[in-house]
Amino acid sequence: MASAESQAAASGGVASAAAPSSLMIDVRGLNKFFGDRHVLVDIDFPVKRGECVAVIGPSGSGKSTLIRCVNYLETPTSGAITIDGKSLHARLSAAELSQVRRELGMVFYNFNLFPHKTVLENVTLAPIHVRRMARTQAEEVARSLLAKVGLADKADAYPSQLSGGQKQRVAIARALAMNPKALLFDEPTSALDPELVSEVLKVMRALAEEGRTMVVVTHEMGFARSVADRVVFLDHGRIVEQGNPEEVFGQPKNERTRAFLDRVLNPL
Amino acid sequence: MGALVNALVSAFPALLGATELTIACAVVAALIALALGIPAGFGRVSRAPLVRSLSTFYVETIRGTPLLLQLFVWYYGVSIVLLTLFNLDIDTTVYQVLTALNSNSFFPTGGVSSFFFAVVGLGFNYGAYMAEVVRAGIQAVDPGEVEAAHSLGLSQFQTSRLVVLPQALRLMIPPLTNNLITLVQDTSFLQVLGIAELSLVTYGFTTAISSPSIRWTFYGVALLEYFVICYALALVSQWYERRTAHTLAGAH
Ligand SMILES: Nc1ncnc2c1ncn2[C@@H]1O[C@H](COP(=O)(O)OP(=O)(O)OP(=O)(O)O)[C@@H](O)[C@H]1O
Ligand SMILES: [Mg+2]
Repeated sequence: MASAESQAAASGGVASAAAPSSLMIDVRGLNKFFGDRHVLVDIDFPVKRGECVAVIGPSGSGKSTLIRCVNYLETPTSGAITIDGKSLHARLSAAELSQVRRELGMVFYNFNLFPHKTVLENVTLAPIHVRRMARTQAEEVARSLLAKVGLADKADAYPSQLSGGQKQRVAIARALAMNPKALLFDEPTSALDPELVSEVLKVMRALAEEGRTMVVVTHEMGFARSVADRVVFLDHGRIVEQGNPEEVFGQPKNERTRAFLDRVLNPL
Repeated sequence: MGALVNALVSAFPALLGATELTIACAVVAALIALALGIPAGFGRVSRAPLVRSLSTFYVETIRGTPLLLQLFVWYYGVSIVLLTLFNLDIDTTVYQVLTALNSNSFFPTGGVSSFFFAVVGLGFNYGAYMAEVVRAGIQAVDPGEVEAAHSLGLSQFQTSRLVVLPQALRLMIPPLTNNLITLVQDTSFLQVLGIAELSLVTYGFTTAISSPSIRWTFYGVALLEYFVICYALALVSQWYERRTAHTLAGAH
């Protein structure tokens, strides 16, 4: 935070300079079409610094598309996206886009580790090549992050030698190694065997408790309920309901939220 | 037995020369093929339509026509085009270059244009097949990994260099080896342009040999030579594949 403030101060009176606002991620009026298909409809999605937001909703409701728009893996059809005061738009150069993306850690449901690199190399790749960190320093950071996710002994393994839960924890360490301002998770436990889910959720809970800014698309209602500061329910590309977990899970106001929760909480 | 040994001993220098020539043609043609195939393979997946069309045109025209005819086109067609359009004669040019280097004694008596067009023709032909190997290798890398690299802030170029290419290369090795092996064998087509490669020289000897057993021994020797070269390529590829097996996505 201190560095963001000093940067803003240094840039003096420039009007467009990022005033340190309480918002880390700001999405306004986001619309996304795939061909004729209106996948996201007028989404306003502000995320405060240090906030952990769980995004829930039925399959195909646009949850992945929403967080992929946040780091421009998908290009929004219209709307404004601002990351820590920096606005993203389609005319950004590749270098400018990279500047923003390196501040957002992304964790995918299918891990997307680099299979030809060891665990340590997976974690140090971006710090070395994007942040220009010295290799020894990057490895030091990587080892401490691997210890943090409980994989200190796997530094020299290849991804193919790890279980799904271990892979996902490596992917989290890889994202953390860039010291991102926010973390985006797209169903991080949905590809895991049930007994491996909790090892990943525990790491994520610890990150939330540290005060990291997180957006978590998830089907893990227990996590959404006990860890998230706010739950957002998406349906057919619209935010139908949101609020603190007590409200959304306790007394859902919207009919569709109620139906969805009823289905996922009582599947039989 | 004595006659066989005599025949082999007296043929040995010529066979050795033919083998060397075969290997040299294969190596140069393979280098040309890679130099064309790698950019053409990237061109096939390029986002620039012009680059994509040019690469596709190259690959499809070459793949769609026989090597033998292509060699004739190079030797009888392209050479005339070069001569009439650019007044460029390969023999004269090479002779002048060698003279400039003070070494025109290396210029072979029969000229070099048949070698030149033979090797270029073979390289051009195999470049098209290699381009497809390169394209398949690039496309086999999980696009999710590319997204992961981008989301870490790696540039397009860094993503290609650090994530896509190392894996694509690993995936390309088996089909590339396959291509190299058939390239070695297809050097025997170069005889249609008068190149004294192994098959032609072997055949030349056999026509002058009346004893069927000696004749067949000559064929056997030639076959064995091709086999040894090709099997050596296969072994190198297998060794590399084994050494890098753990880096494949699906490996255990
Ligand atoms: N690249 C694409 N091209 C066309 N349509 C797409 C594309 N990606 C997603 N869609 C469509 O957009 C809609 C929203 O997809 P999205 O993946 O965001 O849903 P989701 O909420 O993440 O679903 P799930 O829970 O199954 O992951 C779906 O109808 C999907 O078919
Ligand atoms: Mg999804």
